[in-house]
Amino acid sequence: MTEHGSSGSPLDSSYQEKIAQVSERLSSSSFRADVEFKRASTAMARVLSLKEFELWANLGFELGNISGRSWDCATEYFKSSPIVMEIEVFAFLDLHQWVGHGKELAAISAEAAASYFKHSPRFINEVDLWSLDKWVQLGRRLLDDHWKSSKLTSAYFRTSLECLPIFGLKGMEEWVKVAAALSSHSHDVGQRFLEDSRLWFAPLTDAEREKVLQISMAMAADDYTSIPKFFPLLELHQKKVKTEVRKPLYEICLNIAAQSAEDALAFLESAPLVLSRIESKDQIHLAALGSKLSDISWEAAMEYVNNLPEILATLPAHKVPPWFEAGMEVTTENAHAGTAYYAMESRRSQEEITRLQRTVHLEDINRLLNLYAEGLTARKLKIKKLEKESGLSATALPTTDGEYIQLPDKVAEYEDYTKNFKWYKVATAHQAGYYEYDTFCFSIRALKETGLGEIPRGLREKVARSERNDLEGFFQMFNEPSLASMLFRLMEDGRVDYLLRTNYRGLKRDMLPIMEHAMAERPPLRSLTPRRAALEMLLHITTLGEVRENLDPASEVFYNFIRGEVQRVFDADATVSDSALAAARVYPLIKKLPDMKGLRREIIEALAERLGNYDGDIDELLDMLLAEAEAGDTLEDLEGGDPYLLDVLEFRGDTKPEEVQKLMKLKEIKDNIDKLNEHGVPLPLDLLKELLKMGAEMDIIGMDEEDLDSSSGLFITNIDGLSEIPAYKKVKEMLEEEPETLQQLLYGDMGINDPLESIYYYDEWDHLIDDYRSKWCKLKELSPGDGDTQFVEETLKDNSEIINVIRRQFQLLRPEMFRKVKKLESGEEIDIDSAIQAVIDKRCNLTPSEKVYQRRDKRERDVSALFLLDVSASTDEEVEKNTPALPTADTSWKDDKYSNPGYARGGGGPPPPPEPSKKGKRIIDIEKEALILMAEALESIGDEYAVFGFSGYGRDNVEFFTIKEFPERYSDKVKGRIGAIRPQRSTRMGPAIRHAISKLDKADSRLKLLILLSDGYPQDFDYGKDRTSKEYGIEDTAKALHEAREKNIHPFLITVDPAGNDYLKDMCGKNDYMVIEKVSSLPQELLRTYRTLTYR
Amino acid sequence: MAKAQEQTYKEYRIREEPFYIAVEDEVEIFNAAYEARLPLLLKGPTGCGKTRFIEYMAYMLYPDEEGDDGEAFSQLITVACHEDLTASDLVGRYLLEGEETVWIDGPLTKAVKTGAICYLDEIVEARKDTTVVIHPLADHRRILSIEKRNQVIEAHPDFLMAISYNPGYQSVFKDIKQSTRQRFVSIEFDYPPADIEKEIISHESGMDIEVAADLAKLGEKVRNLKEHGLEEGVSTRLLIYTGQLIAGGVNPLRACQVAITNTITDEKEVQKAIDELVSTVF
Repeated sequence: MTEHGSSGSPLDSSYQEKIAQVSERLSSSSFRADVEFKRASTAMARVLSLKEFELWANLGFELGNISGRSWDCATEYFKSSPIVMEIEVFAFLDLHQWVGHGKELAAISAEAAASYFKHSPRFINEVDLWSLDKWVQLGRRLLDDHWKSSKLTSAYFRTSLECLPIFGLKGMEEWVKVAAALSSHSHDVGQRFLEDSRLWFAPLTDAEREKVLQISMAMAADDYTSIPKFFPLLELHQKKVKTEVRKPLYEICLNIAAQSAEDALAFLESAPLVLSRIESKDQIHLAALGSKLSDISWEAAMEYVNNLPEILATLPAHKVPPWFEAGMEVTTENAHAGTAYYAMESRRSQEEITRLQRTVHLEDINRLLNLYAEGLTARKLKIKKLEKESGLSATALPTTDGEYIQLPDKVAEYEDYTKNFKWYKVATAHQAGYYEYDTFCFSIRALKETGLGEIPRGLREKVARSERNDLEGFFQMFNEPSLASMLFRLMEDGRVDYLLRTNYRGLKRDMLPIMEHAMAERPPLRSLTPRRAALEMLLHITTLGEVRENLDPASEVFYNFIRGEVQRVFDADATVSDSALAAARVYPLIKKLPDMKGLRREIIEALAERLGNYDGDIDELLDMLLAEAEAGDTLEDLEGGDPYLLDVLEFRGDTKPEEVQKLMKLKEIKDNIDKLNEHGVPLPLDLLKELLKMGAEMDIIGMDEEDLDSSSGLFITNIDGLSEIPAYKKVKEMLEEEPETLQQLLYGDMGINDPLESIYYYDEWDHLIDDYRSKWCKLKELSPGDGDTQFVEETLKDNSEIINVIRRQFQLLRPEMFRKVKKLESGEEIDIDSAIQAVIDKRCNLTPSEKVYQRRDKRERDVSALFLLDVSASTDEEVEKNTPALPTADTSWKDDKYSNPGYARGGGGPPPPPEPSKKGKRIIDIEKEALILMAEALESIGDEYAVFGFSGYGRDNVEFFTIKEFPERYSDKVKGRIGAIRPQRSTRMGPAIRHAISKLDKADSRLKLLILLSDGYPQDFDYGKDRTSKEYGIEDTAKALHEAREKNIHPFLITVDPAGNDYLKDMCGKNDYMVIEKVSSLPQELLRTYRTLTYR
Repeated sequence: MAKAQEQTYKEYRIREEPFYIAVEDEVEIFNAAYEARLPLLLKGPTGCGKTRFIEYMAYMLYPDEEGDDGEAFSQLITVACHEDLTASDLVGRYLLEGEETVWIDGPLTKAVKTGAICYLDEIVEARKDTTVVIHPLADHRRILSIEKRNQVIEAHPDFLMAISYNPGYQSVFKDIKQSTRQRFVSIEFDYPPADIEKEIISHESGMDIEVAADLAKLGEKVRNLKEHGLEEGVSTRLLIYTGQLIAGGVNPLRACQVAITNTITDEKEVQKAIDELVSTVF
């Protein structure tokens, strides 16, 4: 583009001539066009060559001559030309394209074309020239032969510029589609839509905008009049409905709108009202379900959402999803049925609700049952959901593993909630009964003492000679260990239930109906093979005490014998040995009975004959039967499958006592290892010996096992965290290699070789599992290093004036040892002044005051304060003068090298602490200054105090810096340590607080304070699984602070994190924290806080 | 209408043998300590029978007999300690009577003079400076000095000092000072084992032995929950109350609820668990 002279100078005469020519021609056609031409011409003349200028003017004529009304459009053309020419990307060559679009439009509507010329420069400027075509094409869609469409299109060119930033060029296509759809019904509605769009769409999120456009489209297709009503509702939602909830809500609405705009409107109208009746934490989840449903049936989804408050009135929120899912099935098959279901009108729906109402979910009663089991057994037994793949129980039946009682996650067997709950209670009591009545204490040694003589002879010798002492060893003395195990369990279950029933009459009341219920569905005896019938009889006797069926004579004989043996365990003094004995005594008979139906009746009768008519000692007969049975003198089994399998009763569950015995043994080993690690105490020699012995024994158990692979794998994986304990791993390794060096190694692991570092282990609270993670954090006590006293001295010098004030203030706090309280009605001594007054009063015939005593109240200041300093990396931040803008979290952990667990787990050395920066004061410097002033104050008042710093990286490396212990004097050494404090790594508050508690707990003051100075929320790279979540750290810290309060320690947190108010209220309780906005005021605030905390 | 009995220390005597079953060797220890006039510290949770024990011993040592001067005197003077208990509350003080000041002996002085057992219940509740006045009485000196009267009283040969405290709920700052603690022979008490506890409950509440045994069993189970929001397990005293309610015709489940569950904890979940234990036993 060439310039023809600067703006001030007159135009070339050739241009002036041209302008006069064109103007003359124009004035005959359109006065306004002529005016605009003349106005624009000067500017145009300056940037165009004469030839170009002529062309430009001619294009104007072309436009004006398209139709009778198109001079308006030419006017706008002239008006916009200088503007468009000023745009940097616009060259003269682009003029054709620009005017070309205008011509096309003008051929249909001059008004639209005029609007185009008016608004396009802004479009070109704000978007680009290449998109112009698309923009115009979108406008063309709105243009038809109706005169009103011109207005609409003009409105498009105008409003689209406003809406561009909202939709983007891409999104505008949908927007125009809606407008087009609307204008096909009514141009006015379409135009209003365009004009109000900016207002309506601007507040929406991108996702919402997309949905709303879709909904609008659907509504426009059904009933265009609904659109004006639609948008005001959206505005209402913005105010009343949470963003996350709006998303599913609009998904539902879209599905409805596709069918009926009217219903969609009604839905949107009622939604805020419905939601207001639902707790906000449930809203998202429940609305998301609705959105899922609406894909199948919009009517059902509408009913669902509208009825939510009613549903929630009958079912707790967590039970809604199962009810919902059942409804989904119905809906998939039959949409109408689904609608009725969610309207809570169908019977199926009602039934489902009643079923859910009566269902007891384990999670609801977990803690209750926990306490119940612990109450019954005095053991730390925990309840948890059955793990189907645990290997402990093949079926989903209650079981136990020495540490947990596992129960099914829900029970709905009975018709009401109470009965289902009672089932849980009885099942828990039964499993707990194993512990209460010492099932797992079984030992062959004890069995020998109880009744060696009564064990059938063949077995007796094995028992007497046995080297093993456990249940598994006992079972393996039989040719058929699985039968022996089954018999033992039946007897033992019988014994446990009997003892529970006799000892707890309340439980008996609950247990009997459950037993009856469980036994009601047993197969009739005559339908079973003789052996299974005998086992079934045993089950009947151990539960109900009898068989209620009519028995044939042979069975009667067996029944009487079995019942006689069960009587051994139906005794208040029966022990687990009696169960084993009884099992051993019924074993020969049951083994000898064929597992085959109907055949060889005579054999069974002969056996019954022998048993029934035996004259001599029954024991001798048993000896004989056992010898025959174990010699294989039985009939081969014709029925398939495990010949000894019996369907166990659900409430009794399926516990394998021999496995539990093993697991409990291992748990004991684990506990012993834990004991070694606790608090870094030196390992007593005899404890080590015991451990070695147990460890060795554990390996023997492993080797004795026939199928070594499965079982050894089983018990290692089944003990939570056992294999994670480093000491345990080492013990295992050392056991395999050389047990002699184990002792040395354990000492090394506990840091005993390094007396300078003390190591402590602390539990950590995990709110996700609602329990402590045992010995989770390893805390090291370190010295911050020796520094010189320079820092302290400088601080004192800089603040010398303030320090004098502080000393005076604090000395005022020191109360006199005794304070006399006078004029009391009773007291230690007579208050002589009041007494004299009273006597005088009396003499004067006045009523004397009775308050003539005085008492000396002893007010001693008795305070121990522990200051815990956050020395995390973030304290390295410089404090700008009076700016509260501080980092709210440590940034160090985000660093790659910190997030590499291998690194943090000791793959390399610890990450280097940040280099101290030289410029300006850092947070840590201010913390230190505050400490120094505090120390001065405390020295003057004489309170006991201690100072520590903490940091760390990962749970294995919590660092606890000792700056001053309670008994230590405020010596130069301490001052040096204060000087040496440097920013370190992360902020794992929990273990540091716990360690501080243990320090304070030893102090014996009336008032114990734990004052924590921090600059952000608790954080560490492995503080909780989700490292982006602050919650874990906050919950753990809150718990630690709670522990402090329980020990009568008053914790107080002072933070310079301006975001502190957000989480500290939950973490510390509402009175026990303070957020300091101005970091530099920390010293004063600390002193002030200390005064208020300690002055009563 | 029955009236409360007002009795001075002088007149109040334990005239009937209090019911007490020894759990271990506490009676022998007490007797031996008494022979040597060694002061005693009774430690144990609330309601486990410390006070009953001292009453029983007081009666056994001085069965209903006359004192030296022919007057009846109390065998046992009990002081419930509290935070504001001062030394003069124990020793005595001058009071105004008419226009004179009259010296009134405190309970400790009375016991020292008459040779009773002075029993300071919940000693840790008292201020530390107060407990110091018992020091000279609790060692070989066996004297009580009353500064205000310029007197030193040598204790009556029968005088015995006994104190009690409950280590369970005492916070560390309410611990007994070593200098006090180390003047005493300590007998530790705990809730009696179920078979003795049932006898006690049965005797005290008048319930038959079966119900008493169930109550004792329940007590044992509830005490297993001690760490879960329960400061202390259910006391024998509460079990007796429960027995008395049952004896009075209250349904056992309800009686346990009002006397045990609601009494020992406010936490709903723990209450429910205790209720389940109750409905297991009864």
